Amino acid sequence: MYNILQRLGGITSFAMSTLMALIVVISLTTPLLPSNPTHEVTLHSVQTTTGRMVDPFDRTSRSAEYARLTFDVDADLSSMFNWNTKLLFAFITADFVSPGFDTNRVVIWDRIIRSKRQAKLRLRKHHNKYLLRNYAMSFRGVEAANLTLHINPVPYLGIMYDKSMVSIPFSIPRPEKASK
Amino acid sequence: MELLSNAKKYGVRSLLLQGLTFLSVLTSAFMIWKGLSLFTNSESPVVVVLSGSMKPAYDRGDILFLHNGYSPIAVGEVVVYKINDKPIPIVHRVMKVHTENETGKQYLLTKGDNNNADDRGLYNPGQMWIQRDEIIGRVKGFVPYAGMGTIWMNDYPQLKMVLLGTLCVLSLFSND
Amino acid sequence: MVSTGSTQSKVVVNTSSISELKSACDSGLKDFLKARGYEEMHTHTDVKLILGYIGVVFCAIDFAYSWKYPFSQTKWFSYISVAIYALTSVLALVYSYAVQRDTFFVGYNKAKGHVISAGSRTKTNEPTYRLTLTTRPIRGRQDPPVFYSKPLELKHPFTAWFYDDGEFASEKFSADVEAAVEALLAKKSE
Repeated sequence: MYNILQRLGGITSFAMSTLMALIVVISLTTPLLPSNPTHEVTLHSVQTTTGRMVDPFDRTSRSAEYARLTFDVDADLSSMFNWNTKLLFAFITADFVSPGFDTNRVVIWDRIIRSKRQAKLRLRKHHNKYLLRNYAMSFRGVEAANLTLHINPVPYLGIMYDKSMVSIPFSIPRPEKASK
Repeated sequence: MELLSNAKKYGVRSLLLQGLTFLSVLTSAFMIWKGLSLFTNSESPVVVVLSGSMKPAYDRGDILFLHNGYSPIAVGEVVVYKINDKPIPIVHRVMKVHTENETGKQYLLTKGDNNNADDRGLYNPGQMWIQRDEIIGRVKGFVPYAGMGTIWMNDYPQLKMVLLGTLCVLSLFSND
Repeated sequence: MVSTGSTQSKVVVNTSSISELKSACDSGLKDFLKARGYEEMHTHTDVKLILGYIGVVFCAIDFAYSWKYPFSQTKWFSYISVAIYALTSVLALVYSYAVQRDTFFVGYNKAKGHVISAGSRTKTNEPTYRLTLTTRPIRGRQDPPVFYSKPLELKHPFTAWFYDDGEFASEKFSADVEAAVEALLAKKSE
């Protein structure tokens, strides 16, 4: 009763709708898959220096205060790898409150974890990958500082979701050479 | 002209009806896009990744679904932003957020996962931070490879012509 | 052989497409009734055209406006045009489903003082044409006796009206339809 073109059209539209439905189902169910990662961050030391950094785009970098952290990370994130995980983006942020600014969150270290094998993190005495400085020129008045480890799984397909983890408090000292 | 003779034969109403059927395809597509745009508060709620600067997470040809909304940006979020006066939107991750407490104004710094340096080289000269209103949206979902068609059509404009031509010919041959 | 007076040329349809068979019969009926002196009333079409083009106009204006000016500036107008478009689309859909339903022809005969409406439907995968004819008086006219007639239903397989190669046998169709219309009008004048 039907000719070839009609059959082809019917098959194509059915295939398209099934594909759409699959995409929706995958996107909605991936964040619900269980995982039980372990995580631990220990901070060894924080040093603040000034006058030693040069940032090509930041003209004020020569006289700004920069903090250097030494920390350890122990984490087992392999359970976060499910069939729909392309990679894990792990990063550590330093959060603090400073005069005039309610929220300051700066990523100081990040790593892309591509497989279960790489998911067992054992970092010893690492330094921050990215320069940590306040929006203002110094860390004066900065309080309630925290180091937080975040994991952001990136699926092969679907919705992005976030799992943030342990937070440890720390304080950022002023540099030895007192500068105004 | 053929149009006039057709008009006499079928009547103006019939032509208007046919015109409406054709136009409603275009207008409903545009209106759905606009509706989605208003819902997400984003000028372009679906974008195609053009560069490889977010590899291995997002590669050229991935389609990203954005939601902007009105809430402040959080650190670590992958956003699409467009610098004022620069035409190309960029997909990168937010590395630094400083929020002023009086005005709620945010100072954001972005960087591509695959880049070593942050984006200050991409901002306008002298611009150190980007603002909340330069953000088109945060990436909420994505479908890989689905946007390769757009990339091919951009790289090979002849393909666009071929596609348009085929569509026109097909529509001429269909019954209604 | 040239047919005089008749406006159609040979109509050939794809016999495996029920929608094509139905539309051929619909236009056959239209031609038949028009030849019988019924002038077409375009109310249904006009309502849908007006609703549709209002939506199109707002869409076009919004397109032009948001093309020229940035998103944040044109947002307020986009809200309005999306709302209007949605409203007109829903209204047109509701009108089509609730008011118009299967009707494809409404025609009035001034001389005889009544209005005929014809509606048709088909069931999926069933090659049967179900025609419903009703009459109602022209609004405001009282002469000859006017009242609403019971709808007359005609159920007929498509095979009776189409040749093997898909050509529409309009003479056979007109003959069958004529019998139905006579029955309808006969009932009316009781």
